[in-house]
Amino acid sequence: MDDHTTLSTRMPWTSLATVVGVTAVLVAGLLGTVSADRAAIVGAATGVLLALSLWLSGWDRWQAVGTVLASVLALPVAVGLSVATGGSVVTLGAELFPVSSQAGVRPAVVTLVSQVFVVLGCLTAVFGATAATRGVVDIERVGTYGGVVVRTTVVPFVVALALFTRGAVDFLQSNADTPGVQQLTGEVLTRVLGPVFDPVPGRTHIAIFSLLLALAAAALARGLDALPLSELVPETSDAPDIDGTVGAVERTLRWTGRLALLAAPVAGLFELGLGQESMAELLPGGLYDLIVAVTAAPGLRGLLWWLFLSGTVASVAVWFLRRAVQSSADRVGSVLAPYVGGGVITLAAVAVAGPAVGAIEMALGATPAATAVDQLLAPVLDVYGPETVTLALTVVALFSVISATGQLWVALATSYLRERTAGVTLAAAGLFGASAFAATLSTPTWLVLAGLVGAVVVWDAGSFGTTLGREVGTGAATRRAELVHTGGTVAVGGVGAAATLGLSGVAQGAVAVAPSVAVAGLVVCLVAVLALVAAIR
Amino acid sequence: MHRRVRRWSGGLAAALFLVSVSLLTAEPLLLAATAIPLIYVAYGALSRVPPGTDLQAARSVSDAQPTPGEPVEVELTLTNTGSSSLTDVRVIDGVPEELAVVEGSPRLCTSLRPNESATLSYAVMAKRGTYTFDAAAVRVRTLSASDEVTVDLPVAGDGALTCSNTVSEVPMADATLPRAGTLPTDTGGSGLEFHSTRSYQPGDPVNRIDWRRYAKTDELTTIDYREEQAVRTVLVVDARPPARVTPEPGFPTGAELSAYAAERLFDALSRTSVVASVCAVGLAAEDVPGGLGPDGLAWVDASGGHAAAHARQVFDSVGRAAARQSETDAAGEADVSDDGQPRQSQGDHTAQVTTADGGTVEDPDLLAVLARLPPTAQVVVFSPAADDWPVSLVSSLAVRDYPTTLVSPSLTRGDSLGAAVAGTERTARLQRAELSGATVIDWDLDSPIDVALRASLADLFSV
Repeated sequence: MDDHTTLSTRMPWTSLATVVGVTAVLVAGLLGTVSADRAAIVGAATGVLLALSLWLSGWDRWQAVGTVLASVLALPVAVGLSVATGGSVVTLGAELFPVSSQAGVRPAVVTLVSQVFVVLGCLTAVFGATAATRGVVDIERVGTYGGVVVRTTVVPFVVALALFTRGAVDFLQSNADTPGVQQLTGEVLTRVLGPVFDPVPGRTHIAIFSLLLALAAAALARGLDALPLSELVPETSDAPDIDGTVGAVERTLRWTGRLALLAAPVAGLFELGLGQESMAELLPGGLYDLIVAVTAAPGLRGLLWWLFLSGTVASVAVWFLRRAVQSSADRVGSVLAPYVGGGVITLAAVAVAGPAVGAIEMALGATPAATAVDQLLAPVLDVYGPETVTLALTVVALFSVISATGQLWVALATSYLRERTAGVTLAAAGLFGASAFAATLSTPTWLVLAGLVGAVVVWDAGSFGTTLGREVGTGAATRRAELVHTGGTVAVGGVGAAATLGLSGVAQGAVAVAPSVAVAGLVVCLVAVLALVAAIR
Repeated sequence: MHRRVRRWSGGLAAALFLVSVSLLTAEPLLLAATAIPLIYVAYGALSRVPPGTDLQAARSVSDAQPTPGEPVEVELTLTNTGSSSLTDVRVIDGVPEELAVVEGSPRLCTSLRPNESATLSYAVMAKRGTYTFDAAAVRVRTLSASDEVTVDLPVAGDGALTCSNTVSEVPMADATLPRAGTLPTDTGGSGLEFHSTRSYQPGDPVNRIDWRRYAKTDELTTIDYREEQAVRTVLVVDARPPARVTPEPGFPTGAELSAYAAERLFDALSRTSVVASVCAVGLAAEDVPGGLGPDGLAWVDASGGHAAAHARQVFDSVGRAAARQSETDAAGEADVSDDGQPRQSQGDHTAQVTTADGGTVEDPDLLAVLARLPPTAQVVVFSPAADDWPVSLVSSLAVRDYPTTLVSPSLTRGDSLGAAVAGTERTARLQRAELSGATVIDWDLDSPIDVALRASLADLFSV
């Protein structure tokens, strides 16, 4: 008996069937007029996925599972949104351009923009109708979903940023020889990073080596301290005394770190003040060679650096786990899930990086902008590699989902969209917009009129059904009244469509003035009608 | 109440949108297509609920005097007696707040031509008491749904549902309790059966003088007959919060059913010569008019005047307590309690009472009942046995040699796991009560309580 909680957004079956059926038929018809077939189908599927994600993020029963799924689905939704917009533009661009003459540019642009809007309208309509079936568009859910997507984006964003920085650093370092700003930054980087990771051979580097050693030892000691090693050993009498061993190792590491930290400034003073010759004289021959070999070995530096990283990662991971086990599974799940989802998305993006970049290049190569794309994309790919580029594109696509969710949230928060009828309003608005833009394509007039009337019918049946669900409930017998009401709306729409056909017929036969004058006249008429209606109301 | 709904005003925005797109793309069809949204705006603005709209409603209740826990069919017929068709009529029947609808919906939305009728039918769960239906709320909308009129429509026909338990028609006295109210005792006096003889004392009734013996021996002797005293019967109703559980929303609680069974027995007994006292356990002071006794019990002694009225008050109090509980209980659908522990002593009661199974009980209610019981009485305990308290009471009574009966309404309905567990626990409790020496009546709610009482109480009262 969950009717009590969801009564306000539920509608009776007949209204729901009207909303879904009319939307499905009209979307199918309208998408048929778009020449970018694949983008259109992806757009429609994205609408369903977006609604599903919204529902999942508010799934109270399996909160953690719902959040993980919503988070992982953010990638298909993001890709779908990008394909529906960018994909349509690219496909149609390849098809419509280049135009034969200058005069053909404007119609081509209008056609392209209209088709993209038709696809977006259908996406919105499918999303709205799907969302209306469960009443999932409310401000709380949209807010939750926005949070999930933002947290999902954090991981790919950070990874992309890190990869980008690394690529940039490598690029700048490799460009240290070419003149200009690149040389300056490259030299600075080389100077900073060289002594740490790539020391000059044949001399001592005790100070920097000691510092690195101190860091590595401290991090390793912390990591060891954090790991539950003694808890993992079985509590039997003959078990080895691992506690003592771990304690000893930890103490050793701490002392090593402290000594190295103390030795660093002293050694630095000696190295700077005395110079290598004096040091070689001061120290016995064998010892000096050993110090040179140890402190200048790049492999050892690398090892220390990785030890530092692993110690830090271990202690951070254990801290996270400790926090995690102290709160409920569902809470942990729903808080961590988006990050896990973000990780999955990052891995997926990296895994398909090569083919994805290839596909994008191929799609772009077919457009008239191919040369410009080549000039821009090829060097970027060379510098950053396909992984970074794919991740960056993924992050941009995820940002588009965040932006769309944000717009939806703002519309709900400012009550432009009422929570109760948000789904059907979106469906109707999408259908209406798509039908209007379809009129500028070679769409048959009847389909345009059916789309416009159908959009009104969808909204009317949906909002009527929602009111009915609220006032009478979904358990009552309401079919007859719903059918009568929808019949009335369709009949009025038929009158409107007939009026439209009549008006356009009269206008076509009777326009003896310049088209601009006719347009102006129609606008004046329209304003007059609006004023009249306002007065009546 | 008349109201206009501005639901088509979005059409203006749609028209503006079409004009913009038309100007942007130089598409004249879209300019002409502004006719579509504008005609909807006009449609919404011009439609009005027709004057002279008239509706009539009639209600029929299938069983105006049902027993508690029984679903009652209600039908509401709505007729359009006006001259114009109504495309959208919504009606909500004024179901009393206390009654839960268990089947169907008391709401309807339909279209009605002149003189056409529509019927909505639903079932409510009957509860003790009289409940009056409110007027039906009716809302009429136009076809465009932009104009609506809301009225409270008075309904003809059945206006109330009475679920009473006065049992004047129940043939209980002659069929079930042949010797109810009489218990032979071992003291001589007036009666029917010979007991003993003794020497005459001044003031002895003349008809009990043994005249034959006087004729023979010239001594006055008085014959004593076995005295037949009316039995005191104490009806203990378990109305403690653990007993106020209900298997499904709208169904009477265990406490209410117990009170109902007790009331029926009380009515039956009051028409025989049995002296019946009534005691309700676990009520709060605000539930009982006049408050509770100093020992926390609502006790009505048969000896006082207006005992029947006072007993009725106590039974009603149980219903009030259950209603109060369901109001404060936010969940509203309390499951059968699986809390097996009896309520523990809150005060500094340190007295311990021995039960038949050797345990000790420190429950203040239990102690109060035991303290208040007259030395000779038959005790009938009414409890849903949702916790161990009634078993403790029954075994404590058994230790004190009170003939005891436990009447327990079965609250386990449905197939859920929780219901099965609660049912098993209850069966175990009833078995323990039976083992401690009490007569146990397991009242399955599908059969009337009279049948259960008839089956078992005849034994008790013919001791």
